[in-house]
Amino acid sequence: MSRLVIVFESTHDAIAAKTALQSIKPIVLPTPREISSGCGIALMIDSSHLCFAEDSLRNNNIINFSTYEICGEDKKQYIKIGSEHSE
Amino acid sequence: MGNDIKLTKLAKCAGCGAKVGAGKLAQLLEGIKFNYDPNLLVGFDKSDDASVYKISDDLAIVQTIDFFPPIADDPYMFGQIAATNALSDIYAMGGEPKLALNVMCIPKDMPDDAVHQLLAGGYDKIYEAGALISGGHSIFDDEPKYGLSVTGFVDPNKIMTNSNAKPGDMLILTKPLGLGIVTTAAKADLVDKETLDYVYKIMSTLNKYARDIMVKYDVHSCTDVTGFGLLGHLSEMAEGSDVHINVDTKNLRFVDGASDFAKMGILPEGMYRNREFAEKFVDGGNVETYLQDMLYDPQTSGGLLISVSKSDYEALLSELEGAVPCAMVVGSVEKYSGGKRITLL
Amino acid sequence: MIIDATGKVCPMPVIMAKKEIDNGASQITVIVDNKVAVENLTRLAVDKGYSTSITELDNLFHVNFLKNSHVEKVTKCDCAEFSTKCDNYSVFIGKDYVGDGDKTLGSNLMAMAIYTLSQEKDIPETIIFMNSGVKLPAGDNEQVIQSLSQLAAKGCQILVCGTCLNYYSLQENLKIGKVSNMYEILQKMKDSSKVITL
Repeated sequence: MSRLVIVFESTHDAIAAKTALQSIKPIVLPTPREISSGCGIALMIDSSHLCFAEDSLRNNNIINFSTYEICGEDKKQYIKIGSEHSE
Repeated sequence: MGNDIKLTKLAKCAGCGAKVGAGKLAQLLEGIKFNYDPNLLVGFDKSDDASVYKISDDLAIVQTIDFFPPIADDPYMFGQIAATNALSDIYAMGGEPKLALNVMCIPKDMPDDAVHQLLAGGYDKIYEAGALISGGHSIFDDEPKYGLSVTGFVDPNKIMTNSNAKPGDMLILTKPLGLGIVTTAAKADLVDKETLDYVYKIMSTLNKYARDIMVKYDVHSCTDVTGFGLLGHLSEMAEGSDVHINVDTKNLRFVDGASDFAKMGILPEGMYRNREFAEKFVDGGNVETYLQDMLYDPQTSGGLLISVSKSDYEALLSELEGAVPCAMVVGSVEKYSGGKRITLL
Repeated sequence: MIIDATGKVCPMPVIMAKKEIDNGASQITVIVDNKVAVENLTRLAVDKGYSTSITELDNLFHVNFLKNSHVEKVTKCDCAEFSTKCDNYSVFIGKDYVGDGDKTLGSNLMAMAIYTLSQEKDIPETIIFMNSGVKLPAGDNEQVIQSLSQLAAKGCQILVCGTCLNYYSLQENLKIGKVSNMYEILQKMKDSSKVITL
């Protein structure tokens, strides 16, 4: 099962995102050390929910987030697959 | 007099500790073209103990070579151990040794009597195995080295390779571990005579007796544990057989004092080379560093590592007790489902 | 004191260092010319209760030994000789949120903390829940329950105060953990080398 980590610029966004995505039961976890971001709270979701997640977040006015794919078992690597910035 | 000479003082690395690491060997051979011959039943591709060439439907030649710097101060004992070690690969394939050629390097100032004792040790051991030394080659070198190229025979239908372990098998080893560590400690005169004599006895015990018993049982795979250490040889067996191996570290037996020496950092260079090669295949779990070091410790003239069917292992173990230096269950074989090849429990 | 072990064949560097350590030296530097000797010396240091630092100068390695102020054997706790006191820690959770202030932030922080504990190799020996903390193992937060299950599967003991469960009428809702009491909880905390309160 492959998973994605979504990181946010603000804690409020992260917490609001958790509510917005509650139907897909995201795991709330500390932002992995390998990823630098503005906020220490991140969400982990199943990669099959990527499209739903991105749409939901935008529909809830959460636009400053980045998504990373998790690779590897013991030594995890995080590969960025998309990011949104405010224009 | 031969007794005055202390051969190990002339050597940088004790015995099989001098072996070029498996990873390095593979690297050195990369890109070199090999000929294909369907009669070469066992060659270099599976990193086995000896090579096997088919002559007819019921006869194949087994060939091997082994030589190294002194492992014992006494030249006669050194000769005995070197010959035992060289013969071991033939037994590990299930074969019977027949002909041997000496390979020897000696310093120009080594006393004649010492050289004589060295050769006598080799000849006597080959004789014990029922084989013949039919020649050899010697050159001068600063550091003494001795060993033999051995040729034997085996029924091609009964070859014991190191890559046929089956899930469900139990793994048995016929000599205790810790030989590399104790011989290294002996270089610094840290080992009492009794322990050292015991170690020499183990290293000069032919694997013939283990082999004679082993062939009566449902053994799927076999190798002898020598320069690559237990974990090095287990990795080759696991990779070659495409299985996963669990090692029961609590069951393993070591020569007296080996763990104390290992904790203190008295470890041969060969241990680190073996670690470099085999570590990637091993999940060390919670096993302490010193104990893991002991499992990478290069053995000189170690025992036979036998992969036997579960239904036969108790009977085999029982017959081996008393006939070999020690009969211990090392672990078990199971199906490989990805990840590390070996797990230490 | 400085020991020059360059050009010495193994295991001589270890022997030379051991001699000085056995004589009571609290600080020595051993100079060697190969990495194997460095590794061997490092193992000797650990065994004898010294810490090491290594400096490379002109293709030589200077291995500095410094005696630890209190000699502690750095071993993993598998061995029966050591009591359960070896480096075990417990976690005390007395409320269902972390810190003071916003409760939403606090409950998210708690879920994150328990998740992170469950992912580490070095898991706590015991986790204790009291007062509103019992709402976590007896509640609906799936992430928390899953993390606690993973911890339990790895051998962590989860103790939940029975009195508190009773007070909040959550006895029937406990999803994971063992119902415990003040005596057991206090004993567990006393037995741990450290207790972390979230």
